[in-house]
Amino acid sequence: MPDPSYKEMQPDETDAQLIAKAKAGDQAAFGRLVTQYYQRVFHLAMTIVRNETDALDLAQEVFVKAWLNLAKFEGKSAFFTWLYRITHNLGIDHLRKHNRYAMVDFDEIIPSEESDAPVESQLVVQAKQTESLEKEELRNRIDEAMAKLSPEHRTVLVLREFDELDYQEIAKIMECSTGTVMSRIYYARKHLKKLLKGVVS
Amino acid sequence: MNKEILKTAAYVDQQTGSVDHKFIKRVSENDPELASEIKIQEDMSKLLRSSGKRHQTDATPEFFWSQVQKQIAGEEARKRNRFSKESILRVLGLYWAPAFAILLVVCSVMLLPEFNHSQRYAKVLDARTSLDKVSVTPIQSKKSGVTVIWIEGLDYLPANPDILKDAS
Amino acid sequence: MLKKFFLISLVGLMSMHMVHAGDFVAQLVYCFNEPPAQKEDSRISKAVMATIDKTFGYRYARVAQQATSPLQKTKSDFPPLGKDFSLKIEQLEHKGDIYKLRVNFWHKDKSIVETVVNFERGTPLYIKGPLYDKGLLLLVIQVDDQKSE
Repeated sequence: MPDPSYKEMQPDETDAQLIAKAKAGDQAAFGRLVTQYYQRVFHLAMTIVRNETDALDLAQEVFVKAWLNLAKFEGKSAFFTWLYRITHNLGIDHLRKHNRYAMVDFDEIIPSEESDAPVESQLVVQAKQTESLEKEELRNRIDEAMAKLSPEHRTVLVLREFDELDYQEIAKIMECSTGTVMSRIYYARKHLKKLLKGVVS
Repeated sequence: MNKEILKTAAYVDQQTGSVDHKFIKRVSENDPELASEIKIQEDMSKLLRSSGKRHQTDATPEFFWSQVQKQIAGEEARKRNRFSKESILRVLGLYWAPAFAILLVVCSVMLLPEFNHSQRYAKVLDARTSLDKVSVTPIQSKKSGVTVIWIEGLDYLPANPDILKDAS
Repeated sequence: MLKKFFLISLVGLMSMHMVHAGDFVAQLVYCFNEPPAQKEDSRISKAVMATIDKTFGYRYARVAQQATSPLQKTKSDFPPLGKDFSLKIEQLEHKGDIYKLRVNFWHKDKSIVETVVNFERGTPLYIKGPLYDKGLLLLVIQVDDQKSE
């Protein structure tokens, strides 16, 4: 039975206040944080795992993990940054378990790029002209192209273009340097351009 | 890989320092290749922001939260059970630990020759390319024995029967 | 019983280290994700296939071109890998099972990469090639375990 008290939102209750209450054991306060962020977490989870059922399970797992580790959250970064970091780590673990991720630990030199996804057949892409595509269809094409990028490329584009995070925040979430964020975004956009050749002029 | 080209992403996103930003702006005015890279970055950024798909779940907030609550309750119950199991094992350990230790030593001595060989992997001493816009990075994992020369920036090759013809 | 076990292990280890001439094997592998019409390519070992899957993210692979050549002490042109790709191999040093080789990988008239590598017999080096058709071309090269003819 869902706890209805999560609906009793204090209009000016900040994340910090809710977190403080949750740390003191107030699960309803945590519930308010969950309902506030669950769609964003789901979006990121879906970006990484590309499967709705898995993404929903993953999103729930993120909040369970957040609740169980709330004491470790010190408030040095934004709460959603911390949630996103959990989402990213759980998402990559999920892909590794299902053998869909390069799981070799490169202990001498770290590559600046992940493996490129295969390029969609030019015949399929050129089947429809850009100008005649409806907006929804364009959205779907872009989504299909995004699906062909590596998980790291997809993540970095979503965090930048949808969440409008700066490079430092993205670096904290993905636990890498801002230089790596910059090169991933560069290559991700280049690859996307290649994949959308014929769809977008 | 030209460093300025790589920075075009940060330039478009206004994530470069002011010195870098001015430098790239000035260079791009006379460098069509750099200007073209900037355009690609700008176009893709605008495209995603205007037409990118934001995935949303149909799960209502109430349903989602109820599922999370159930899982939290399950995790907390598991934690309590694990704690009591750990106490029992701690007591047993006091008696069995020495016996296990002796067994481990004996097994290690017997099996040592089987595992006493060096990790086998190819070791890259040098790797370079003379091609523009191509980067070459040797990467290695001693744990899995995989060595890769990772190359980025090569042109895409369309399907070609000469490439896929099997060697006899 | 233990003595016998040790003796057998010792003999086994010694025979593994017997020196014999090496063959250099190169496979140009086409990696892709669409399920293929034909069966698995048996020329790709399980270990290589596992690396193609886990490191590069492709489920299927086919040998596009394959060539083998005994290692020479001087620079040599390796048999071509089809019309478009070729290798030049130069043996720089050889100690026991370790071969120090300079390898130059060419596409038509352009050198893609020149590398100097210590190959231990039977351990491959993967060179990530260009995107091709619906997947990727991967060069897998190694000094073979088997004796040369």
